[in-house]
Amino acid sequence: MNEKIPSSALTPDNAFTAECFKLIAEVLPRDKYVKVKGLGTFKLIMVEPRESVDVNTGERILIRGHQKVTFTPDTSMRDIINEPFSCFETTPIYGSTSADATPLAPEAAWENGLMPDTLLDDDQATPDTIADITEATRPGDTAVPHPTSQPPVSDPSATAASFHRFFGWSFWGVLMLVIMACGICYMFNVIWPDTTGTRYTQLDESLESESDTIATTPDAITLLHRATPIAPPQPLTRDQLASLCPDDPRVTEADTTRLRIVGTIDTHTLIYGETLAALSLRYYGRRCYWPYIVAHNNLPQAHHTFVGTAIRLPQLALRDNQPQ
Amino acid sequence: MNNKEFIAALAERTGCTSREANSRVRTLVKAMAGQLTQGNQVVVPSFGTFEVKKKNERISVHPVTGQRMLVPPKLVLNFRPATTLKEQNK
Repeated sequence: MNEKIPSSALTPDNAFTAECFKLIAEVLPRDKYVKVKGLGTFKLIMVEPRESVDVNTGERILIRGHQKVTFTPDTSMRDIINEPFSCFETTPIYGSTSADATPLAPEAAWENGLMPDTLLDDDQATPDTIADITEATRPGDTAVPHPTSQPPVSDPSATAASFHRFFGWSFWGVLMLVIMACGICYMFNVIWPDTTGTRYTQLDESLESESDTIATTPDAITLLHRATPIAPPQPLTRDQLASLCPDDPRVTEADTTRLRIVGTIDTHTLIYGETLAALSLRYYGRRCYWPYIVAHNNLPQAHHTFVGTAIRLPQLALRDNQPQ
Repeated sequence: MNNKEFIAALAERTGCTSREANSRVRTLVKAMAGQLTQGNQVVVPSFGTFEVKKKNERISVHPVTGQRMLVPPKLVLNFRPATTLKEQNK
């Protein structure tokens, strides 16, 4: 690990190895590229002349254009090298808001700490590559300030853009959702009013105070009748439940509509070979009530229950609109 | 110079057949890959150094859709040319 292996130690044929790399070095200035199958491609690329600053004197200097040797590994070599990490794949990140997901301007990206793709690359990047990357991301700028040393000043146009973005789709979307939620709550309240009796108790008290006038009209009689508190649901016994479902082994339809769950009668731990239908048969006298057991226990997969699962057995009662 | 021309030139220099040269190059590349996967550097005098570098995982943003992606870490082969080679191609 981390040892420097000379090329002469790679194969017994040292002369051939040396000749191989010597040929590449000789051919490169002439042909500009040498491709070796299985290893990669050596290329000679031109670096344009550019201005820079002498770090000692602070003077502006011109770096002359020159040629640079680059190497691109072959796909097979790349796969061999990256084999330890080959199990990883690029995965999308979900859960961010739409404002985060929108591509930001470079300045805004600096401010949010979300650097452009290539700048988050690694901490082993050489200064040359960083310079190249920054040039690539901000082509118009000649001198690029470092994000930590000199934070960029947000200009009014950028602020206006971010304000517009905030009051754009996301704001109106959230507003619409709130209005829809309020509407749904109101609809639920109208369709299924409170059946616990508190509302009717209040109505009862108000009606008692005005009983003289109201009792004279037929509408009020129905109102008073309705105002009596609703009796709590009567849980059905095993015999009653058995009588509700036909005792025919050919009938396999499960009951999911006539009854409702009003409590828990017992808890049972599943053993090997037991099914929910068998539990239904044991506790309710019929097999058809297993969907209520599923609903009461929030079982995600009713057909895949595990040994040792504690099953709560629901207490069942008739729904209000069902005949006794 | 493509691979075929490179093998032909190498065969001419070393005085062996193209097939032999090809097989020797393959052996050399395999030996290099073996050393590099073990984390070693391969130093070729007056040519350069081959080494493996680890690139950390990073978050990348799709420029069009704005979708954020987690790019996994990876190992890449890097080549640093020797000063002699740099001077030769200046």
